[in-house]
Amino acid sequence: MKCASATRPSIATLWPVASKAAGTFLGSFGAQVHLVVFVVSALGALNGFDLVQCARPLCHGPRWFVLLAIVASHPHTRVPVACLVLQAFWASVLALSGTFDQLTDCLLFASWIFYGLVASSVFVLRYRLPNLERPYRTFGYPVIPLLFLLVAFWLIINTFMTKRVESMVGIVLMLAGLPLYATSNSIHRPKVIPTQVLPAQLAPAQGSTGPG
Amino acid sequence: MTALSVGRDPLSNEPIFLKRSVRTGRYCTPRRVRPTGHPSNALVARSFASRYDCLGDWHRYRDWSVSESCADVPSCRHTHAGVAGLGRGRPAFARRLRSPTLNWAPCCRKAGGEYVYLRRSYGQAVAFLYGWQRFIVAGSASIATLGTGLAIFLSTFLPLDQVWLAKDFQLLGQTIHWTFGAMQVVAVSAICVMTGVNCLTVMVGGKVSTGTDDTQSRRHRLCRARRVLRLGLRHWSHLSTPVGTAQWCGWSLFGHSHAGRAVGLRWLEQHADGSRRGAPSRSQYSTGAHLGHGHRHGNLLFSQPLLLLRAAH
Repeated sequence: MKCASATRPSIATLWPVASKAAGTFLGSFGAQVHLVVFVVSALGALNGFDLVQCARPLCHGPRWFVLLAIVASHPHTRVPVACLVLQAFWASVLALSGTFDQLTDCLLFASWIFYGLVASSVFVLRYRLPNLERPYRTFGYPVIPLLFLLVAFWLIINTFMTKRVESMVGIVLMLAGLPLYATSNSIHRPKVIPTQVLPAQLAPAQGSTGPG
Repeated sequence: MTALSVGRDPLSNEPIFLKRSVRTGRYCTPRRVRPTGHPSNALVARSFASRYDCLGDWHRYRDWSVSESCADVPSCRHTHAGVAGLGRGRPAFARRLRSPTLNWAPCCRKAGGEYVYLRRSYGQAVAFLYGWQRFIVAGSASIATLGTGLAIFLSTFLPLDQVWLAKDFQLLGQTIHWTFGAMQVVAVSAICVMTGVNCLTVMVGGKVSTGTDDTQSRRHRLCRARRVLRLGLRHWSHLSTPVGTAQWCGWSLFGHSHAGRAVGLRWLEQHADGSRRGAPSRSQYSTGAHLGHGHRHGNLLFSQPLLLLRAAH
């Protein structure tokens, strides 16, 4: 079978690996279609990440971030515009500072540390809270999580040994959250948030005793 | 399933309960709002709902939801405001009775996925670092990676191989080759454009049709589609945004249509007794009819999506 990409030397040098692979069995036209599909799907994935990622720290991020999200959201639609812009700014800085491979290395290294930690929390919670009601129990409990942990550990170590700079960047960025954690705890949080409530509104009704 | 009485609805004076229900709540707020049993928490929740409701579709944490009535929780029957009631309820009824008024308000104590596990097993600092890492490294780097990948794939069509700046760094015994060229510009502009679209789409989303309905759950979309089919396209009012839900502007297909809202209200008043589902006694709880208050205007407004959801089930 004649390799379609061999007819065009530019494909072999310029095109990404996925398109080269698609070119071997789909032909040159198929590879081009594949490229278009990838561009569209990358835009869609970008859209999805834009939507989802900035919402996470709203719930369990630093409190100033939560405050920022509330204060600087759009008055009518309440889109957390500030979070989106902050996220876009930081993503642009990252996109300018590294190549695709560097970014994926940094991303995977930092992510897999926490994937491993989450998986290992199965053991911790089973040990600490043995009598907890567990609607779902991990399939193949000691073996499969252990395998996952081993793979995660191997991946982390391997990335650290081979991609020292990227993993160090990931670690530094990750640990930069610790001062924020310290400061976010010092922000005073009132127990009862003051609202404009009249005492008459607070009093329960005498007539109705609830359902039943 | 735990239910906590947090107070009374200032409009209808009905008791408001927090319930942990299965796969129902779509909304949450940060940890700031918590049910402590104080009656003002309901109002706090309501006022916070108006500020947090943008999070409704931005979060998918569905652990806690609120219902105005706790009729299906037997030991809650005689609880008053400020008294915590514990009991077991059936998820189906919880789903029916849950009120969209305060759905997103009370708390996300157990929501958050990995965050919760990390917090319980390794403490708050590790969990915080996880959230931080999700934003700073994982989230933003994912976006940056996608932008860069997009530029790489686009460079096969377009001449994007110009490099304007290039430098080599020696860092930790590793050579870092840094370049700035057309590909980086394309990546950054893709990120900026998608961010702008994300702001704009949601802003416009309440007013014009938004085809990108990504953030809504599939079930919700399915419900709407079924609703449209069942109505036989008589009117579009069920797609308009209800007034009372703290000006929830997101993702309604045809936005605020006041005429449509009036029609929808009339339709709701006709169907609010749950006659479509043949469960009038149960479904009346959500409208306050079981308290002898009849159908109240405000409650109807608040429970409009609930009724729609129920009708679609």
